Amino acid sequence: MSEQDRSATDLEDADPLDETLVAYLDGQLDAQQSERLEARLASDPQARARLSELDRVWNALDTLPRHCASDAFTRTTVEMAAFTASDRGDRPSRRARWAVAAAAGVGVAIGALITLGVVTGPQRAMLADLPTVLHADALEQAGSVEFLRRLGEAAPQAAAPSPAAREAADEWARLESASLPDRRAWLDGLDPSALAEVNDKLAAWNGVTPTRRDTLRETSQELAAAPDPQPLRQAALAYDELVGALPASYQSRLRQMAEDERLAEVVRRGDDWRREAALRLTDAERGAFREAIERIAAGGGFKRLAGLAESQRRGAQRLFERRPEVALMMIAYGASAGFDDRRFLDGDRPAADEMRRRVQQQWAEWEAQLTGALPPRVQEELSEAESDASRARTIARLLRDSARGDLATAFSELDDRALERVLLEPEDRFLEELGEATTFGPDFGPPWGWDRRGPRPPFDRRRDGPPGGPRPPPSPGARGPGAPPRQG
Amino acid sequence: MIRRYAESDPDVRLMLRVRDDDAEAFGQLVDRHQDRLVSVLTYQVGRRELAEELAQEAFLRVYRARHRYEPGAKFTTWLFTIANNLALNAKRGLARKKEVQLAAAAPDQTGVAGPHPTAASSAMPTRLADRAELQQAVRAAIEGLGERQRTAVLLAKFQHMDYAEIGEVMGMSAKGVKSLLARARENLRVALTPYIQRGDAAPDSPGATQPFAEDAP
Repeated sequence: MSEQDRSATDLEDADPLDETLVAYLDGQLDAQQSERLEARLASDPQARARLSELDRVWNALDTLPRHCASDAFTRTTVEMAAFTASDRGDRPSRRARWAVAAAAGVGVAIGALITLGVVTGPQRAMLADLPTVLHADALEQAGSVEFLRRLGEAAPQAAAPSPAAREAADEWARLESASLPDRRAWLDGLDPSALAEVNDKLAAWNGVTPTRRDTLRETSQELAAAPDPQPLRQAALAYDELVGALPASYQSRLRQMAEDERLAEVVRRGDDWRREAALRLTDAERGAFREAIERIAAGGGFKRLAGLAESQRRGAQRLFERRPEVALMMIAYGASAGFDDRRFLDGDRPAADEMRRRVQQQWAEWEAQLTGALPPRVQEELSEAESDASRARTIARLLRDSARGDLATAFSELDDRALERVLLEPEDRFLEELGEATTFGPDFGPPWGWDRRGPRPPFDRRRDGPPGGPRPPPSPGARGPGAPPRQG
Repeated sequence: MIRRYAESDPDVRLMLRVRDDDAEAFGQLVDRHQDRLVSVLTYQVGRRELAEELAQEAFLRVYRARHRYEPGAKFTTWLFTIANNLALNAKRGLARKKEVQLAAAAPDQTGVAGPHPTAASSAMPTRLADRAELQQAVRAAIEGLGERQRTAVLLAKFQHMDYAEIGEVMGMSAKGVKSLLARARENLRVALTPYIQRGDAAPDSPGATQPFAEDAP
């Protein structure tokens, strides 16, 4: 459409109902008009749907990035203005000359007129926002101070801080009460990696809409002004730790829920989330776990088993060699099923029996080796397992996560077409598919059902699912040891 | 009366100090409005650098006219009226230049990091990645609007102006603005509904109607 055509359509009359709905949303109707419209809305579902659609579209505009003037904008503008002031003629359009003058140093002299307060305005604003910026994630997850207060009562476990969260809450409080120069000094004292983290958070903060920033500031201020801010800060950080590990789509769904509904969800699923979070390994922990896997893979028992497995299924030996963690994962699932699951060992009966015997002999030793390489909190989870089977299943899950952890390797192993396909998926799905495609390799299809999960990733059916939005993850307890394995 | 107005509006307070040649007050005034002005102008003219130049020029015009300043209309209405005229002139100039040069436009001249969905999903923090695709669609939808619709939308959304103020900036009646915005929003609705029905808009607009409220687990 040409610019002219557009101008023409600009001037056409809009649909009268649309006009009224839009004016209503914009708060531009008087009381009488609003009442009339509300009466119509009450009885006209179509108008209601239209209103909500228009409202959602308008809200979507909040995602539009806002631009910030460059850092020097205020300074150069004031310098130019000051230069005009000294230029009595007040002639129009002398910008080029001012710019030259400023560059030549005239501007610097005039710049001295400007108080320090003006020049450092943006920085001052940044320091003022600092406590909010650093905890914007936690504040956003919580949504409101009231939610945190209710969380402490309804789900004290979810609001209980880890040692790290407790420490972070203390630092938050210190920073909140610090003067701006003290905050500056705190920043100066950070080591480079901590500073980089602060900068990342600032960048994320600047990417958020001003309205959103205002809301977060308000929440932050309300929290600081509460009579008992410290437990609330701890609850905010604990809650963020708890839900921060959930799939992104589920997190955003939680954020959209009404407070009551969200609290109920936390009460219902909080324990599962906590277990999930405990089982999530840090990079260092995953490294130690992988070393244990490598040690097992280098042992004679594992290699002999690889040869035996090849007779069961073509390509198995290659899998044992290239992806020992996947082979171990399958063995662990086998252990959890008592090694008699037919999908674990099928085919030639005597060879299968021989393999089953060997695996059973080895498993206890391997399990101990793997467990020994895990951090204490995971060991604790494992020791609390109800049965050998459920312990083996947890280890299998850790092996699975470890197999899927290395995205760089995953990328390098995908062929171009597969890469192109997964890259076009939304993030959660993309990670999921990348994991699937590379965990099992091209010639070893994913043995769906081995880990008691459904035939498709359960999260994120945004694109092809029913219009219900993303679904919550299944609770690990939902399909227990006794549940029949799903068909893969 | 005027005094009460001046006390209630920080812009007017600052502008009265600027009238008395207070450079610091001018700096504060620039500080307060620069980002929103640059934002609106960037989407109006499509080029970040040009937008900043125009914003600077708008502030300088305010400064040059300071001695004649009387607290009356809102400061922002005045500032954005100047800026809107500058933007219209600049666009006319750009259009003329284009006819001569036929220069190929850069893929993204707004200066915003244009988040490609793939870049977003691999590198951006999750919650930001959620938004990347929608953001791109919203940008395309805004760019697809006619000039006047776009300006009205930007002033309403970024500057929270009411119809009368927008009308003042754009030289039209409040009634005309009402119709213009309704049309603009219908156009945006058509362009964006497919994205929003998937629920993409939701993470960033907790105040918005919950699209899937009836589908709670």
